[in-house]
Amino acid sequence: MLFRYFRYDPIHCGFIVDRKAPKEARRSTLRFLALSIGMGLVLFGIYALFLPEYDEVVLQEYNTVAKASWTELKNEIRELDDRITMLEREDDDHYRVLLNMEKLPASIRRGGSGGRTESDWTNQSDLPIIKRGYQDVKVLWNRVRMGNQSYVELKDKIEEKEGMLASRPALQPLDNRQITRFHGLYGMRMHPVYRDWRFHHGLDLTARPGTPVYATGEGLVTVAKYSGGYGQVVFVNHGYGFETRYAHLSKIKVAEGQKVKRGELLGLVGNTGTSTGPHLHYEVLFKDEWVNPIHFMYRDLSQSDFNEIIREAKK
Amino acid sequence: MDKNLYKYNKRTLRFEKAGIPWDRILFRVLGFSGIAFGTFFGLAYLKSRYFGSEESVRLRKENEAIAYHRTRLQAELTEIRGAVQNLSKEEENLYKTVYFTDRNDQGPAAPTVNPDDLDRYEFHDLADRTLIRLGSLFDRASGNNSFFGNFFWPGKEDHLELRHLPVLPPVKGFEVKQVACGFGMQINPFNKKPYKHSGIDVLAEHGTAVLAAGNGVIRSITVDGAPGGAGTSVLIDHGDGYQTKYSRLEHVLVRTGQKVAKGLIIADIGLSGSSIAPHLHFEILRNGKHVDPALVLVENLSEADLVVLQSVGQSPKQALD
Repeated sequence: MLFRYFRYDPIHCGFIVDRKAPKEARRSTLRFLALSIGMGLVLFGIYALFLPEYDEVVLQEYNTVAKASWTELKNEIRELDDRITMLEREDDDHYRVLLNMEKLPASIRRGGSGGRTESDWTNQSDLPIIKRGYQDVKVLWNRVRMGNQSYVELKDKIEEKEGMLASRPALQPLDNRQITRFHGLYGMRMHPVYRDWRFHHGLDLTARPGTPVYATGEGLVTVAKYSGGYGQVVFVNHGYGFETRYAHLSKIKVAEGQKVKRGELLGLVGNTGTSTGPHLHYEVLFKDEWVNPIHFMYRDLSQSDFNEIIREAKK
Repeated sequence: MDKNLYKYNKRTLRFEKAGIPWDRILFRVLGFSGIAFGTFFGLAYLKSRYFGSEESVRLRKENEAIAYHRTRLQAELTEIRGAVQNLSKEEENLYKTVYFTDRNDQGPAAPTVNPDDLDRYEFHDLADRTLIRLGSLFDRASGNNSFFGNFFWPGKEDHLELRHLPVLPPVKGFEVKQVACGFGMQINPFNKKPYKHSGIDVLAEHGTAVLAAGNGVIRSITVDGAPGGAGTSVLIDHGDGYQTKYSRLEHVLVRTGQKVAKGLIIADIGLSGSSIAPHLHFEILRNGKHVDPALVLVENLSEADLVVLQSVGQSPKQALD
């Protein structure tokens, strides 16, 4: 803030504010402006004459700083690239091996089409580093998109597989505590009724009549009837080539065409058909050929876990 | 008129002579230089902006482009970061469904392997005996010849004896992360209940070569295309009570009774037996009893690898059966 100055006016014998007359003030202001602008022009003249490329130097400096800051961006791209690479490697070398699927080649992962349209990316500079940046970002997007797509594929496959695992026979059809004798003979043996050498296609689990028989995997009951040799018998088709048969039952608790879960009650142990005593004759078939049921029993399953499977199947 | 300037003093209520009016001078100087330099810089800017050299025009454009595209790309990268995060989350879910357990992100836990466990398997017996023999040989040799004292090299037959130990990871290009399921109580993939896993599952592509873990003789070969149990398998007798069993194979490339050297390709990985994914089910038996292969396999494995290998079996995971 400027001070207010006074002058002594001898005519009026008093102090008056030190101020110029309006006309003079205007003139002096104009003079002041003209002088200072003139000075600016002189400076510019000197600058333009003697330092014609100075602006380039300044711009070049800005340019260097800007490009240095670009490395930050590049580092981020590299970091994301690393993370995606790790996920891709896990995808290809772990999950795709596990699920027995073809690997996704890098060309597909990187160069997938679709998504962002080309025109979105054309509005870019011809500067190589910027072009490169957009290319990198585009590749990252493609890889992320392909990763997601791949996971959808994997999930489908896993779901399919889980269905397969659930339907595969993997249980002992009788409660361990209720089996009085486990006849682990599969193969050639002397038939107890016909008294000749025959191939025994299943396993015999001896138990008291009326002992519950459980389905060993998810499936569809295809046969539930009385037949000569098998007696009261239930066939369960598990899909994926598997079938199980439960023979010599005293009572059948399911109907043909019924869907059953692993651990669901199929019937009761009996002595029907060509049988010399109450027992369950259990067969497993794969693609219409008999296989040894012992591999599908998992006899080391604990009692409490067995009970849990039976309980869950009842729901 | 008086040339002196006066100031009014509000405290004394009098006019006092003022000295040099610095404020006025400062105001004028600042005003002057401000306008002068303003004009100068304004003109200089206009010159470089509209009458600049090609180089400066290019640089200016470049600077503007970098600033603009940087923010754009930065935004894209932030979006990508989010997408990648989602991807990792999805991956974790996959892991959960595949192995029926959470991934242990803290890395391998320190293995709680008791050194006595190793003794129980009598793993070190052979090594110790060989070492004692080496020691006596060494003593004898160095007593006779100072050269042996300094440059001793164990005899060929000692090498052979050590090579009988089944210590080589039995899959070509083995990495510890391929061990999908360890030894001990694991989860049965079919009924999702705990069961005893008698070996380790090494996940590998269909057709990957299976190697003999040590020198030995092929004791038996089972070729079984049926979809249950061990499937096609090979049993090797390494002597000294050690046997190794390789199951879920595709083709067997050796004959019963054949002598095999450590590292020989004996078969390739398939999907036989109860396998739900291409893998090798590898068992080591010591005097007919299953032992944890993670405690025996050592060749080509680093300290860190061993820690990982031994920690796999500690947390129940769904087996590949």
